[in-house]
Order: sequence, then C-alpha cells, then structure tokens
Amino acid sequence: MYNGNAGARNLLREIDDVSFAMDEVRLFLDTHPKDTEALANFIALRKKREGLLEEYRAAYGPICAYSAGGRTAWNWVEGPWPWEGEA
Amino acid sequence: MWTYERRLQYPVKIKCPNAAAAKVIISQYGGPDGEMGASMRYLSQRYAMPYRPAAGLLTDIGTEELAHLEIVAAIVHQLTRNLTPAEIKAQGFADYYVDHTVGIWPQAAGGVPFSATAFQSKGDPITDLVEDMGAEQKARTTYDNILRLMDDPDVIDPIRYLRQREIVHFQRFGEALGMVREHLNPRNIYACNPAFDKGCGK
Repeated sequence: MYNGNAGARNLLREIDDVSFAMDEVRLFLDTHPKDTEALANFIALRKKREGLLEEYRAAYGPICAYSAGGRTAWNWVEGPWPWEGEA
Repeated sequence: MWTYERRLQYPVKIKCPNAAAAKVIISQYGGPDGEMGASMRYLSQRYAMPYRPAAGLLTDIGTEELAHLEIVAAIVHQLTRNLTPAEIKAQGFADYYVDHTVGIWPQAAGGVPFSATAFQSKGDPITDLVEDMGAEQKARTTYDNILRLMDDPDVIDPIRYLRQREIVHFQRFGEALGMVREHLNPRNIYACNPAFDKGCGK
C-alpha cells in the first residue's frame, strides 16, 4: 500500500468492490444455501479476487496478513495503514 | 480465529477535520447501538445457536461488524487529526480530549463508556435473533440521526454505506429466524428455548 500511487489505489478499489460483492453474497448464501445462481456468483467473484490480490501483492505488497513477506525487510508494516485514508 | 486485511471494507477519506462531528459519530464505536456491541453480540451468541447455517450468519455478520468498527474509528480519527488545542476547544471536544487526547476510545456521544449491558446473549436462539433484528434497527436509526447532523459529503458517504448494511443485516436475521423456527421442533409452538429445553414441544 504505497502513498500517492494511482495504480495501487485503483487496484485496491477493484479489490474492495469484488470483496464487498462477496461479503454481500456470503450473507445471502448463509440463509439461501441452495441458491445455485448465488453460489456460482460467489465462486466467480472468489476467482477474480484471488487474481487481484496476487497482482496487488506482487506489485505493491500484502493485503492479507498470511501473504506478508519481503525480499530484504518485512513488508507487512510498510506504507500507510487503512485508517489513514491515504492509500 | 481471525486475520487482518490491510484495507477498509469501505474507504474513508476525509479532508476537513471536524471534532464536533467526531464527537457524535463516536457513539457508533462504543455507544449503546454501536458496532462494538453489535460484533460482540453476534459473536457471543453463536455458541447457543444449535442450527449451523444461522451460526454461520452470526459469525459472518459479527465479523463484518468488526470491519464497520474500523470504518467508524477511521472516520473519528480523520475528523480529529491535525487540530490545534484552540480548535479542539472551539469544536466542543475538550472534555473528550482531556482524557484521551485524540486517541480512539469506546464511548457513547454523551461520554458514557462502552458497556456489555447494551447487548444480550440470552442462550436462546429465538430470543437472540429477535434481539438482533431490533439491534439492526436501532443502529440504522442512529445512523439516520447522524446523517441529519452532518453536512460534509466525505463523512456522509461512508455513514450512508454503514446505514445500508444495517438494513441488509436486518433482512438476513429475519430469514435466519424463519429458518430456525422451521428447522427446530415444529411442535414448539410456545417457543421455549430450543437450545436448552431439549424436549420442549414434545
């Protein structure tokens, strides 16, 4: 998550959008577990999100705590935190 | 367990600090119908939920409420940063500032600390789900009240998002209540506790 980087910002917005769609469909599936259309929708969104998260991680750093790392220094603590409103 | 994602569920980017607005909005952090109580309510109620899909819903909404707690904190944080002591005084924030500076602490708008007495975990799935529907309405009303007091579009936008989520959660809890009623013993017409009175309705 790097300050002032438009590419990072746009990719993060895409991740937010697809993640929110999954948050919404997840709750719907909890009370409609046999709705196959919603289920297919969730799986399609999941695949899209996995790709976007990996793209972000490779270019700008980790979003998920389990995907943190770094070549020479711990990248989990680099860049602004989400509540700073700068990403 | 839980894990963190380095992003807000909905972005918050506020350009103009406004401590008076922060003082009202902090009620949805630690107030009686705020996100902290919401998350603790649903996550605590799971253990007495005998019907697994409904326990899943409590897990997922309880988790989403943690994300909302973070959004509310981000709003309060961004509304109170870079203020001078004079601005803090002029914007009516001195009574919060004296104890917490501009750190985030769970309290209601009136200064009452967060209390677990604002929610119940009753050990009865019917009772709990009915409380949850009421809780979502109370939170929605609070966001409506906040929206009437705000004029900054940077603040209104994420508050509207949070308000909308209360409506979706209310809908889902209503469906869960219907599922629990249908799935558990259909002869339990007196709605005795299906998590505790195993033979009720028989």
